[in-house]
Amino acid sequence: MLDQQQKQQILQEYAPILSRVATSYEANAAMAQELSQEMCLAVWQSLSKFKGNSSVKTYIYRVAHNKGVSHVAYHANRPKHADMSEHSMDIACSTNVETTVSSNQQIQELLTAVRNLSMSSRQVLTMSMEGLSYQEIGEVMGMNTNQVGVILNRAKKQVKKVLNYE
Amino acid sequence: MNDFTDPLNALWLQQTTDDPNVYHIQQRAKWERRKQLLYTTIDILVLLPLALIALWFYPDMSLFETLFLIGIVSICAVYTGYILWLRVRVIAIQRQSVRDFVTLSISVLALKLRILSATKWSILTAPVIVIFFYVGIGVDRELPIFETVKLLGVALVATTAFCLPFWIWCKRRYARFLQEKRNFESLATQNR
Repeated sequence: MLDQQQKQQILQEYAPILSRVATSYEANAAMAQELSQEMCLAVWQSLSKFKGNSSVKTYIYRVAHNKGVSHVAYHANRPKHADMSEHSMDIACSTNVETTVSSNQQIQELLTAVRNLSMSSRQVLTMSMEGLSYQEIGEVMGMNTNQVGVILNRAKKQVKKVLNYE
Repeated sequence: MNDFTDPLNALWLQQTTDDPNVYHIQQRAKWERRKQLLYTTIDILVLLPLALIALWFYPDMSLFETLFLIGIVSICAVYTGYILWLRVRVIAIQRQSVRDFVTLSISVLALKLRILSATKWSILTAPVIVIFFYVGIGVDRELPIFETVKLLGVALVATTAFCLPFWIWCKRRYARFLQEKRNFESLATQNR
């Protein structure tokens, strides 16, 4: 069982990841921030039940993605307020305005391309971009590594095509 | 480890992220726990008035009234138990793999829809039960017809006043859960 301090450390460590995961589910900046908070809350609550049957990393990703899926299922038929101009995609420590604007645009394009993927492709790709191995992604998704590989390759190809990386 | 040489990965990690307000999250977690505890207490306490009525009036009740009350209390107890079990299950499935979570969410929503459907039907049949109960009392205690009709009228008005908003609430929740279930089903096909 994890104590309060351990839970705090874990949350601080994973908060940036949860924030990025949230943007893959929600285009609206305010709602993405709200979803990120909901994910943090869900992770905090779930850490009390963590028994060490899996790694903390895959456990947190499972809880976060499940929260994201619930968010999509709940909001799918509600009016969309996707206002990407609200999205603050500033890059930390960047001094060159032109580079920042260009990078911002690229990030926006990447996020749009990611959100246009099917749900499983989106989840697999974002976890891969966060650095999870096939094995870990499979654990989170409930898939075998072959399935993860197929989905990931297809998703990467699709996104790179949109971003003209190929 | 992350492959920073992949341009997609590098771009993905350049996003600005929010810092969590840990204190706020802790407070919310406490509040959520209290809320769940309150809901559970309310679910159990709802049974209490029925049980108290049963105990209080038991010595004066006829066999018909006793059986009727036992029937209602039993149905309510089973229903409450089912709701509590469902609440625990909803929390537990959040820790499953994404694929299992989607499948389990569909089955939980199907259960919720079944409960709401049963609740809607029980609300619709409430006036029939009230009529059955008061006619039963009238016959059982050999009350004059006028007295029976008066009791029945008051009970029917009270039942309708209570049931109508409850029925509207159930109908709205049913529509919301049905839509949510459809959305989950659509996500399940994407996850295959």
